[in-house]
Amino acid sequence: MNTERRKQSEIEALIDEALRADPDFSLSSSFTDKLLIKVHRHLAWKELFTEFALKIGLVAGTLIILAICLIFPAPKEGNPVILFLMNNIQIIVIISVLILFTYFIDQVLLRYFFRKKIVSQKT
Amino acid sequence: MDDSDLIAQVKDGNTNAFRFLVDKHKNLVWHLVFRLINQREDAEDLCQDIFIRVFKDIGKFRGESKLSTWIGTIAYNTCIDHLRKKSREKVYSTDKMRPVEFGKMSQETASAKVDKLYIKKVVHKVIEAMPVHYRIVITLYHLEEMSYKEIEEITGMPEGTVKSYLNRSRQILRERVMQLVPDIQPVLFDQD
Repeated sequence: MNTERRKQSEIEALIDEALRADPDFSLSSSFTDKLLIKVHRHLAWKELFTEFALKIGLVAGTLIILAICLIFPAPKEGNPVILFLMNNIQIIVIISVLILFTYFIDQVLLRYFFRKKIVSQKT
Repeated sequence: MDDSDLIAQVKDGNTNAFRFLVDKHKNLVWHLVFRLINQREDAEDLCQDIFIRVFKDIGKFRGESKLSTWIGTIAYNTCIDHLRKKSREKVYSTDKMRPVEFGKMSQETASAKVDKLYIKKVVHKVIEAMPVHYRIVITLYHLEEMSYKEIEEITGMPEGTVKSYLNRSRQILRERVMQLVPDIQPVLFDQD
């Protein structure tokens, strides 16, 4: 009976030991470095995009103030600014989208890829 | 550096502090991922995804639990999502064990070459074949030495369920080890 108990506790101890043992494989030694490259990319993207959004907000705000200044003092009927905007709305939208897109490529995408290249060259 | 200082610095975008955080908690994440998904190829990528999520969401950490528990919760949820996407196994099946595949090992047993290393392999194989929730509970309790309360916070299972899974998995392990290594008792006893 005593022997049986001893055997059992020995088995339990071995199972315990096995349960506490690390897995046979471990993370690669470069795991943290690879991870930090991804984090840097994430931070770069966030920073560039925020900067872009701020600049666009600033330009849009200035344009809105300018439009208010031009529209309100003039007479409501036959206001030349409103008439110009109404007649050329399509071309204005197309040009605005093109400018926005080009600016986005230049300020966000190209700078992002440039930074990414520098980081990968460093590592 | 304590956890609150570390979190404050990571929130400020200090990547060196984040490196420190990763080095401190990568074993926990690795153990969880490795035991849960049972696949070495996907495991490292998943660990990276988990830490990226930790970095992005660190602003949401309110300090109500330990940092390790919070990271463990993210790791657990990410693994469960990964398993659901891959549909390799029914995530919520709780009692069905997959067959344990040993191949050559069974023949080794016949030659009575039973040592501690072999038993460790047997135990790990049995754990791999266990349902997901047994694996997570066993890993957190034995490998990470977490309390029932911490396991409850990570997995969302009530404490009673955690205890029950632990007992059941222990029982399964005992039975399967004895079954797969029938001559375990005499050999081990002789070693004394």
